[in-house]
Amino acid sequence: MKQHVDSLKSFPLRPAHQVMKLDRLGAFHQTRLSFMRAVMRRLKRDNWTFECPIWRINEKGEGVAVYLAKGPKRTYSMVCFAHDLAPEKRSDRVIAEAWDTTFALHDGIISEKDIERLSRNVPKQEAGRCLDSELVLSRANKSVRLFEYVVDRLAAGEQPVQETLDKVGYLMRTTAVYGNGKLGMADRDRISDREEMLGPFRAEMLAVWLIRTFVSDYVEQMARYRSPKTAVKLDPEIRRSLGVGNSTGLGMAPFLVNHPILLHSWIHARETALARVRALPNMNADDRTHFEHHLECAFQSLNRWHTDDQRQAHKVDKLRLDLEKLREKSVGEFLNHYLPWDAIYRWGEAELSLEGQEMLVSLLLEPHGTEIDDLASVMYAEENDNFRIDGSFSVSDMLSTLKEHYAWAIDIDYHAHPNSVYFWYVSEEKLEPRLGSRADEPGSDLEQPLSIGRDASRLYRDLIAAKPDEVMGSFLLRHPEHRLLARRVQLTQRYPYAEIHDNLIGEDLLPVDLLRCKLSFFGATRFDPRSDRWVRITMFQNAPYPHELSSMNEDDWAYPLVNTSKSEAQG
Amino acid sequence: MAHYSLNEIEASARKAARGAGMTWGLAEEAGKATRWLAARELPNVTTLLNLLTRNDGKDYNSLRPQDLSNIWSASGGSLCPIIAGSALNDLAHKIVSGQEIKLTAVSCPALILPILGRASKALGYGFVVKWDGLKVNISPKKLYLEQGTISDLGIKFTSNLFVTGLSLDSSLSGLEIKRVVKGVPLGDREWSDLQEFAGRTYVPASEESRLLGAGAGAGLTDND
Repeated sequence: MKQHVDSLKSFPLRPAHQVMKLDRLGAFHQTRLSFMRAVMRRLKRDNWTFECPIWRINEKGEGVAVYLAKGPKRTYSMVCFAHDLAPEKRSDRVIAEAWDTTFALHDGIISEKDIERLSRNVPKQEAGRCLDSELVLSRANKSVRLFEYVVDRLAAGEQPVQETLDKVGYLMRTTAVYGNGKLGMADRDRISDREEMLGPFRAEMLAVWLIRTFVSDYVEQMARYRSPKTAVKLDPEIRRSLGVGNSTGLGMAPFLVNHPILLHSWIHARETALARVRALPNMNADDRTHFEHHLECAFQSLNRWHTDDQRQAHKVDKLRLDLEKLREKSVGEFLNHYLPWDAIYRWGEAELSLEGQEMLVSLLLEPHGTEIDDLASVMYAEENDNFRIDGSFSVSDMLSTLKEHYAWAIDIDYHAHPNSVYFWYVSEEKLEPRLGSRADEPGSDLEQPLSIGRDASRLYRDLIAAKPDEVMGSFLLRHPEHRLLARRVQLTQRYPYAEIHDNLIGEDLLPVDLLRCKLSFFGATRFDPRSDRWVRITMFQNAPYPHELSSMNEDDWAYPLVNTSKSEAQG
Repeated sequence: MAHYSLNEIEASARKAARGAGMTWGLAEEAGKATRWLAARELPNVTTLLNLLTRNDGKDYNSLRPQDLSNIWSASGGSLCPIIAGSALNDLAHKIVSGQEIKLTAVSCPALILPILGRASKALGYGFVVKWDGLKVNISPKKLYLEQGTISDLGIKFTSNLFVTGLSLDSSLSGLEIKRVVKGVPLGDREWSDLQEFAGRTYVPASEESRLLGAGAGAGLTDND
């Protein structure tokens, strides 16, 4: 079921050569189209209900719990296993052998027999197998100090101090969330025609949201075990301030390059949304208030964005100045412009840093759900349907397409060391993508095909040497090494946001930019790079819990206003 | 027998094809082709393994059609179905315009079907593929085995294979082969052989990679 979204009636979209630069992609923030928010809107709209029919966790913190998510047509079971993990086994890396908690999202209401089957496999994660009745597999480790601190406070009948929680933002963080056929689970094709699964990563987001619920229930249970007479539950507001952490490293970096049409569909939806807003002829009072409210929320949220990474800390400082500038620049100044929202955008493009410009994009989208929320359900792609190469293309057609869409790539001298300093490979030891130094490490003969810019320039050189009227079918028979790029070039002609316009093997590459871009589409906040190759984030922080969904606003939690007087009183 | 998802099969098949010497672009075709066969419960990973074993270490130029006249043959004995299938796709406009293409000596011919299946869907045209006693009709939406059996599809070699256009006006007959998305059963041996080819694309760890590969500080434990 594809929904057609007409973007032609709106403003011109920002061109790929502007949007698809890695430094800009690495400055993206969550928007109302982000997957976490889209999932919450869908669950609320369709009146999903939630229950926890099975809770068998013992005093050592071991056992199993099951949460049911019930929608209008289907029920999903989140199966949560808790383990008693020795501290030395706790690793934040994707490759590990044991975790504090492990999870599977099961399709349907789970039976005892399936719980038993999963109990033999899910705790082993990659070393176990699932069936196509499972949709998501995940695991999470405690933030040990914070978890213990919260158990202690609750057991003593006290609430944890908000500021202490804010420094971390979560009690557990996931080190992987697998879906789409990994380890024997169901292929996405199997669920992609379900309404609740329209849009990317819907099952994964549902799972992470339920993991957050489990973790909060779990910490309260552990406090009750520690001191049954004095223990209290978390104050609902404090509880809501806890998200799920996530550590993401190089393993995720190639995803955007390996899913070019999906990347296009995400960016295209976001750019279409921006263009629709810029095309609006008026700014009514409600929308203006809404915008100013979200600006204030975003500004305040910067105080809770902690990072030790100097590069990111510097960017956050600049973003703070940007948002101050935006607050001082009264929105009223733009009211009388022909296209007031466009005028704000253009002012931002001239005045703000990349972080600020892209935050402004998020803010501009905020008041306009009616105009843009339909785009959230078209952000997926049929990579298979677009796989075919059109071999009747002539060499000269191909050359002009390359010149038009790969100008960023073809003039670089990749023989010069700084432009090809890295190579991507898959590590035999970790079975994970890694980045190697061409000069210092063995293995560049086993390079993964992520060197898009260099390979485009190689294709360009060989095309120039070929006869202009030769068809690509014949060219590719002589040059099978160009088949991958030829396919991408043809795709990019149809899907201009399919390609990142930067050299992914050059010395200036910051892999965290790739991670940040993808995670912003998930809806992550508080990006905290731990190096140039991995980043920590928080998911679903401040979102309602399942039992709160029906009575709370499902969509105003990404940057909530903090009730400072209350948190001080509790501190 | 364990069950594998289509994504697992495609990803491993792509790596395995690369490991056995195909370029990345052809290895992608091999991955998609194996997935397509698996999704229709036709001989899949075994067929690919037969091909990779047979052509392991052979030079590309000995496996490709030597020229693109109406009769294709390879200089090194038999054509690779991924290379030939990709060329058939790339030049599908010729077949559609009425030419019959004959392929002389082809390894594992079933791997040609997925590539033509995708071309059919994209172009809105049909193809007929014949070898030995077997006839397959490919239309944009449906697939029919008109002559032969499903297990015949798994053969390792045919001396003659014919591809022609298929008129979509005529009614198609034969056993309809439908697409099913569910776990695909594979023997342990098949899976481990596939992983062995795939493993050739991995880089063994070195001191440098252990220190640098995932980024500074990545090897630390993380008890905060």
